[in-house]
Amino acid sequence: MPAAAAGILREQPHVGRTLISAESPWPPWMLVQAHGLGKTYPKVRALDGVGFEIHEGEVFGLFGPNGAGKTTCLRVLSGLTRPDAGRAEVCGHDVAQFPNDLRRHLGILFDLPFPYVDMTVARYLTFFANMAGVPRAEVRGKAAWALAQLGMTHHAGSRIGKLSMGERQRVEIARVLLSPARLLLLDEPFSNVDVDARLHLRSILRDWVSRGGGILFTSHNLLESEAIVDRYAFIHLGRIVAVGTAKELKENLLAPVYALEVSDANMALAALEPIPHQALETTAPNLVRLGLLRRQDAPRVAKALVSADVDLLEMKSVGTMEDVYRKLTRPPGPGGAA
Amino acid sequence: MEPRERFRLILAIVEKDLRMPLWTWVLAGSVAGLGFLLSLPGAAAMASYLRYYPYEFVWFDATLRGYYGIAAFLSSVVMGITFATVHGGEVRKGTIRSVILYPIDMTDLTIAKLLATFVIAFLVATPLFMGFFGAYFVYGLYPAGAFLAIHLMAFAMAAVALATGVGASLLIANVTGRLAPSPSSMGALFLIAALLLTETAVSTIGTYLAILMSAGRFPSPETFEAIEDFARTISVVSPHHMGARVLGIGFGLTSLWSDVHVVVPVALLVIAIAYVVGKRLYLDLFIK
Repeated sequence: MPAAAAGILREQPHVGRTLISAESPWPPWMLVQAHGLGKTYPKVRALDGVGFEIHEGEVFGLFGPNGAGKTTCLRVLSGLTRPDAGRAEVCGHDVAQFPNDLRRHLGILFDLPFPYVDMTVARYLTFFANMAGVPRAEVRGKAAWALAQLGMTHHAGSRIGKLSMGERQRVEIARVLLSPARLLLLDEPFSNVDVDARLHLRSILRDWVSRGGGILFTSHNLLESEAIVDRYAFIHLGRIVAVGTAKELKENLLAPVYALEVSDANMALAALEPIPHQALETTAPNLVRLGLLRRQDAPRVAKALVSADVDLLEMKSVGTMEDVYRKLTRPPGPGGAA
Repeated sequence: MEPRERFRLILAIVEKDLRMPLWTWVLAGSVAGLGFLLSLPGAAAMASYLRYYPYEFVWFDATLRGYYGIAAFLSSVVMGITFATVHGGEVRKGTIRSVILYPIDMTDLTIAKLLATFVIAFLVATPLFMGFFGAYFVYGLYPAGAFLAIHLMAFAMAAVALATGVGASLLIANVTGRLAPSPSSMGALFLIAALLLTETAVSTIGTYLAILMSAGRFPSPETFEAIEDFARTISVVSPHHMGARVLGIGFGLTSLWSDVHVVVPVALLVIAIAYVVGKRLYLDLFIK
């Protein structure tokens, strides 16, 4: 993904270009480099030639239907599962050679956590802070910090079994944040969490990546993901079918459809008629929906409206990441255009 | 990973596992106390009797077998239940899936679970065994030091059996790619086998079988001799047989060292191979 990689470099001035040399097999800003990963279970080809890269300072989203291979991919990258084929390096460690060591650099949250329900929240975090290698003297402070981050300080003495599912999920995220990790592997981190907490969590995770960490994020909520994910990878039947930013994927995969807010819809329709289009209609008194045949014609839209003395108040591309998802995962056939 | 870091991880798990519910310790203490109270009248009567007929406690082969058998049984039961709780319990409840998200390998995880088991089982089994004979020690009727030695030896041999069984489970997992039979099951199997393969147990079981197979008639002396020979031969694979034999030598009851050299080297070999193999195992064995 050279374009996307270049984009990351532009967005991160703290990552010096001098650090990146052609000879260096492992650029310091590279957190994950996977090539041709394969994993077959007795009846399922879970991963089939999966490859992607994750850099410091980015949230990388891995999306796909149930059973597409997301969790297997996370397990392979965390050294819990042996890949049958391919190679992956995580934070500079080969997952096949150092499957257990590499987890020193990871904070992992799987979609189905199994907490110690009899422990208090404080004790739980203290235990996992010890496991994560937090120095003994700092364990209490770190646990208190993580609880405060997640707004769970008042639950420090509560038994985990007494908490609601959403509160348990926040404890799990606090557990992950305790780790002195460079990369967080988060499988459905926002499940069961209320809206306020989600907004807060998003800002916590953005803050994490702004300090140089990276996140590999999976979710089924693509609309929400647009607020946090920098680059997307779509996995389907064990294969990566697309990688890119939301803008790149929408431009490359979705038809160029725009919603225009104009001063006069009828005049706008007349002005836009000469531009080759597949759809042109008014959807409300001042709203026009325009489906172009070619994306290159988009700049002509504003010019045509200005020439016809129509004010263009807003022009936005119609199409969400859910449309991209549907496009990529729809089975090919008479009804599918994929 | 550096040894210091590995030790820190092991210690964290042991510390967590040692926080057993309070009722566990209360129960163990109560049973030990009850055992002491129940033995008190007998010990008092015996002490009173021995005031008129002085008697010096002397070890015999049969008494050593009996007390060692009690100690071995107690240690094995407590150790098996404890390991099934701290290891098997975590696998069943799924909490082990949280632990394996950290930089620990199968070897260190298993070591941590075994260490926690040994500490908990020791703290439970020692008061139980010593408590049952406590009144006899108080009156000076039984030698407390010798009983403690018996308990320590039985406990150590149960630990060898458990560790060997757990190691065998890892060896099987390395071949089959599945953690089945589980370390808890294999550990329990080896603990039971260590008890049943002692010379005493094998000859007892053999005698029962001979009686059953002789259709009501008493077995011949040759049959008994054959059972004894078989029991002597097979018992060299039992750590408890070795433990009792070492104690027998220590107490001056025998000087036979010949069968002491079998079981510990085999156990150490299994444990050593399991140690190496465990480092290569992927921890999704707990998820499959």
